Amino acid sequence: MSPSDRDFERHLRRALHSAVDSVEPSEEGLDRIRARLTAPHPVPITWITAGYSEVARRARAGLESCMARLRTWRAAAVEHLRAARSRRLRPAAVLAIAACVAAAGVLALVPLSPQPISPTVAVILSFETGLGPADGTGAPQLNGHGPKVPSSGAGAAAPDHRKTSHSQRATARCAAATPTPAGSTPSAAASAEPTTCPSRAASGAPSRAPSPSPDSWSTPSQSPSPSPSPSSTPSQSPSPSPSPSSTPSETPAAGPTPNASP
Amino acid sequence: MHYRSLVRLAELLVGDLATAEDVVQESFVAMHGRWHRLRDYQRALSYLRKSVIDLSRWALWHRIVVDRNTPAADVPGTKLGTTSLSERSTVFAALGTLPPRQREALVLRYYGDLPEAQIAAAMGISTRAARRYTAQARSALCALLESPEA
Repeated sequence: MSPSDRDFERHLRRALHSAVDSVEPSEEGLDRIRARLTAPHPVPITWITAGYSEVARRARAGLESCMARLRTWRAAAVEHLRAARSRRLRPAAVLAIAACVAAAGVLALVPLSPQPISPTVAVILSFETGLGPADGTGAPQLNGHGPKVPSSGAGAAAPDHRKTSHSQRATARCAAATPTPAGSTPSAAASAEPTTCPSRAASGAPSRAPSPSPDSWSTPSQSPSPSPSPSSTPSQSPSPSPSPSSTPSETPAAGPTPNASP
Repeated sequence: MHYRSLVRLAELLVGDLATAEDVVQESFVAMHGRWHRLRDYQRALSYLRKSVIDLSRWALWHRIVVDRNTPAADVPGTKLGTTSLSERSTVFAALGTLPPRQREALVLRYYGDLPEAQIAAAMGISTRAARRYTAQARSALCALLESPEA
């Protein structure tokens, strides 16, 4: 702050004091204040003030009690909701656990039907026995190319299926797929007629083309596995099973008797 | 003692002794009515000072409204800058030309000898604003006093 500013401030301060220091307030001012402070209020105003203060005090007390009650109710409601929620969740959890246990027990007790899993089992078995597809893809192919997944049938459902040869499998397939006439016996299937699998013919794709896989299922079996044909050719098999052929039989309606060999 | 100093302070603010006395009396009565609400009785003077400043401001606003709707000849001697100022010093006349906030800050600073914090508390503003108002009032008053017309 410069000296001129200080001088100005000093001059300003002195001027202000000189302007108002000469002013003397009237002596009535303090008396007026005392009169206003000590003057009693009019009776209605006093009553109104007292009533207002009493009403205000009671209203405040009532509001406080209401607030306290609301707080208590709120706390109780929150506790009730928490308890109800836990009470509701506990039976639900017990029911869910019971349902899981029951489902696990049912699945353990009831054996699975082989039908839905037989194709998968066959594919897995083919890989296990090293008879996978020759192209190396390992995936079943359509239209007879590649490994043929055996359909559900006698061969697929047999428990000792993995010990049977592929020719037997093919025979079983052919036997399952070929319409067998009534009265025909499995011995009739033992005829040495070298026929291809009729199922192949029935499928419209009797491919005799050599499959890349030497032991693939799609290869037509050249083995002399007979197909059950109702031919009248006398069976060369020693089994004297009754057949509609001209073979005399004492029990034409009797079932197959494999042990009745001559 | 406080009554007298407060009346002088109010007169500097409103420019009228009668109005200043009314303002101070109202301040005392108001403080008496709220005496039980005072948390610190040592600050009663500060409360009175703030009350005087607020009521002086209200009185000035009321006077402005009255002057707008009433011819000037009907209220002689109540204005800060016309009739009454002709009888007072030049500093007092220049003070009447300042805006109310600057006038309050200047009076509290150079007549009340209050620090900036107490000026801010009395005016209800920040310390920075009080400092700014004081500086503006001082520069304006300096310009008015140094000019030949003032």
